[in-house]
Amino acid sequence: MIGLLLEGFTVVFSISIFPLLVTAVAGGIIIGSLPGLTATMGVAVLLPFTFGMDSTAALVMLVGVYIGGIYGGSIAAILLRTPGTPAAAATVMDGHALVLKGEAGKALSVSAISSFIGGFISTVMLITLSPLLARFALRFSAPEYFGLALFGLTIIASVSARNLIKGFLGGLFGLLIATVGLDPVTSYPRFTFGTINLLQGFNIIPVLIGLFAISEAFVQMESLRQTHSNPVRDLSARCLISVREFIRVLPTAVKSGIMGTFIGSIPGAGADIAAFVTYNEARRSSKTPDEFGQGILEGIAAPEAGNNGVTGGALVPLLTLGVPGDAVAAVLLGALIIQGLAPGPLLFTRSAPLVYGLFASMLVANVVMLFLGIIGIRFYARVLQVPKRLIIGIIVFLSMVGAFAMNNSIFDIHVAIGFGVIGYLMRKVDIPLSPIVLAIILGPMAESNLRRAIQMYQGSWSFMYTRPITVAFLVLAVFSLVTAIRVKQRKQGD
Amino acid sequence: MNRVVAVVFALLSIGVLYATTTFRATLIIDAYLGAAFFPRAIAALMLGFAVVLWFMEPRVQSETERIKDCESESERRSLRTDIVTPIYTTILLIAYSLSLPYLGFSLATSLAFITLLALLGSRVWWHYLFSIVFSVVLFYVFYDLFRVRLPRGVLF
Repeated sequence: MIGLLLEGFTVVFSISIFPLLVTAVAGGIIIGSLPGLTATMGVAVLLPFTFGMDSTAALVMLVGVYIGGIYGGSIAAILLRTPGTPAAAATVMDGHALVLKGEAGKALSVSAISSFIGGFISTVMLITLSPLLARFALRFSAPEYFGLALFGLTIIASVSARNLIKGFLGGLFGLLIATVGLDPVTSYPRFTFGTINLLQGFNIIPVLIGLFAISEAFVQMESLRQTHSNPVRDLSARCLISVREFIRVLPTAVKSGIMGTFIGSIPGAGADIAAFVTYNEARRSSKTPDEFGQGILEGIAAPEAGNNGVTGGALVPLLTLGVPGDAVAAVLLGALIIQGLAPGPLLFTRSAPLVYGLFASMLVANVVMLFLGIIGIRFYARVLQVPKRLIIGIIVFLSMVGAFAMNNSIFDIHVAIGFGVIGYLMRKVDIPLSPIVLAIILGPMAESNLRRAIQMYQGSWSFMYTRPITVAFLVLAVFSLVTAIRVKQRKQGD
Repeated sequence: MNRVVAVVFALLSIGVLYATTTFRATLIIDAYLGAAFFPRAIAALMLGFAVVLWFMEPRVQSETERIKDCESESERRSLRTDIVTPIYTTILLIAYSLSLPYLGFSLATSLAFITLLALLGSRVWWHYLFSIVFSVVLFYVFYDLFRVRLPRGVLF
């Protein structure tokens, strides 16, 4: 294995491949940082360009864009409170809070370092533990997915900043939004009001853009006429993470990277779910859980390491079983087939140099991402020095094009505007926005898998206590909920 | 303010509960939970939490309440925010989205950006110039580079 990996490094560092990898990672970061353009979209857009390429070059390019794209989403999330991708939605909470404290440089550096740690751990686990991870993933069926989704939904209690009841109401509103569209089992059109645009439900990208970006633009507009200075302008990009802070966040980043890899290896559970689950776990196990949401470094390290941990995890079922774990893996499956390769157990024996070349390129892509992330901080942070009136306009119209981009649909622009207004009103009455997004992401997973599980068990709910992984998730969910409520009570008591 | 929020959520949940009673039978039958189960469960929980919120003593004041409780007018003015601009911006964005297919992305975005800058009270000439350049560059980046079929409109 070591010999093959070294051979892979030789290929990656060759004159024809390395510049391509650096360009792909840089391109991925740019794509990820633009609202509405996801890593999946970046990989899909580039797929046709790989048709005429050599197999290694094609895979290196796509993997570079994937890794860069997942990290890139955090830049806009931290600086503009506008998550570039759904995977970066959890980073908004503590990332932007740090920017408001004038510590944008620190937030961006934690994000880059944690993304690197998550991505690197994930790739190492992919190389060494693929068969084990594949076995773990194969044990997941409807009851386990329901357990995972329910555990994820308990995060609502942790991210409900001031008022738990309002947080739950926000989460329930998100779950309700998630039920719009065709019913996952019977295909009955629910709450579609006869419009064809709602048959597939609300697309998460315009909803996310509306709730975070447009509502933020509205809030920024309100304060334009006030005389006090804008805290966002008073920041320093020079202040990076210190060695002591790095040592403090390292365990969180490592744990989240490992969790992200496991979550990524489960087909259907993507980077967005991993980010929220790892954020919740970091908060639950923290000695200072009430500092989460106020701009704590672990609040950035956990979701960033978690979502980048998915990059290697998602390739486990693809490479070992030929089953794509998420949308990006599905595009990569297409790329492998186009190159005449058949993913599955035989890929490791028939095309070992290519597979290990891919592994080596993933390791190097993570290092390149860290390098570009760190040297880019002073350039990214300059965004905050742009005059406020211009930055509001840029956010608004980038949001419009981002909402349109996913489906080329004007309807999605209307959705973004509508959710912008809803988000703005929610903020006015102190209803947190994160539970809404979380519920929209996890709601469909919870509903469809609960109903499938009940059908599997012919109407019985016994899967709740007979399947070990489901039981583990349900226990974790109860534990997470109780911890969050107790922390809130203690805080209110103080 | 908590009571207003509680009423809004209660009305929403009652609306959803009513809507689920109108769900019709489908060819594919889910004999156990059915299409109405999840929305009903969510709406019932929402109604429950709305009732709790109605009776709850607000521990933290919302922004509107903080303004209402201010003693002096100057204090009130410092907290009061400009809600008119977001309302005008919403109207502008709706008009912009409706004009996109006709005017095309570059022209519609340039005009909307210029109007927004005027709404925000910008008096710097290069902000207006930037808005035009930004719109055109954005169009070409998304259209040519990312293959997003932005509306071209009548001019392009």
